[in-house]
Amino acid sequence: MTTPSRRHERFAAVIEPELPLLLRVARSITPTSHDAEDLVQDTIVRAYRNLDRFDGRHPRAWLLTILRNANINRARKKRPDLFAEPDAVVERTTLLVSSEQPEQTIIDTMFDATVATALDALPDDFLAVVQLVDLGDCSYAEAAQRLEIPVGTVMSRLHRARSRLRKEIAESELERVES
Amino acid sequence: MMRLLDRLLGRPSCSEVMELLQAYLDGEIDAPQAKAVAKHLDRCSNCGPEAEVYRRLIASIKRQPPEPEPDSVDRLRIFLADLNAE
Repeated sequence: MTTPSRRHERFAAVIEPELPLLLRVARSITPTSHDAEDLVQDTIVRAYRNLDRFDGRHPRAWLLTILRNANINRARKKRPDLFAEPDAVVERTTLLVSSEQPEQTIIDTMFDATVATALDALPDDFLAVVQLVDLGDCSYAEAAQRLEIPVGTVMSRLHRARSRLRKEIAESELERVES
Repeated sequence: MMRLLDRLLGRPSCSEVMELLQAYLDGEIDAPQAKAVAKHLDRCSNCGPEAEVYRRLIASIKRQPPEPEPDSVDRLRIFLADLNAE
């Protein structure tokens, strides 16, 4: 039996480090930052209620699943008419969440979350190149000009940055397979 | 055997393709090189899946939403602390 104070400590320890990531993922599936914040609040409350059922492994995957379910529930509350026919619920939920299959959406969300975390851990000079080339759609020459470095340096930083991200993905996928 | 054949036919090896892969994915190599890399990726069971992982990675980076505002994270920390204090 967990004492209330231990429970609170555990809850904070599990949730707090993941708040920026949850917010970022919520932002990617809601129309406004206000909605994203509401969704993360919902997620926190649901996680709090279900903490005793959490086995302590893979808190991020656990929280992202709660967030995804909370989002489906919110969509259902906002548009009950869409869920009036029970047989159509699954199909319509899928349409509301994404044009892809829900399982694929969850896999993508997990994948994106791993990438987000790995991006946060990149050194600033690597991140700057990734931001310009991948997010800003700059050519290598444009990125080199913006950063005032040779094109060869852009290439090597990008190569090393993506290799690091790739390594993180491999480790995260291995963890998931082992769980 | 395949490596020897590649060398004889002037086709890029796996290590050469890996050297060029990022620039290939970013459309930063010339057409003949791109064609040779694409052919290699099509038939190589090591490099093809590796390129696919990098394609997924780049697509994921492009999907990343902007950094959350620090105020939002702070408000959620307060919400979490309040809930925990109940």
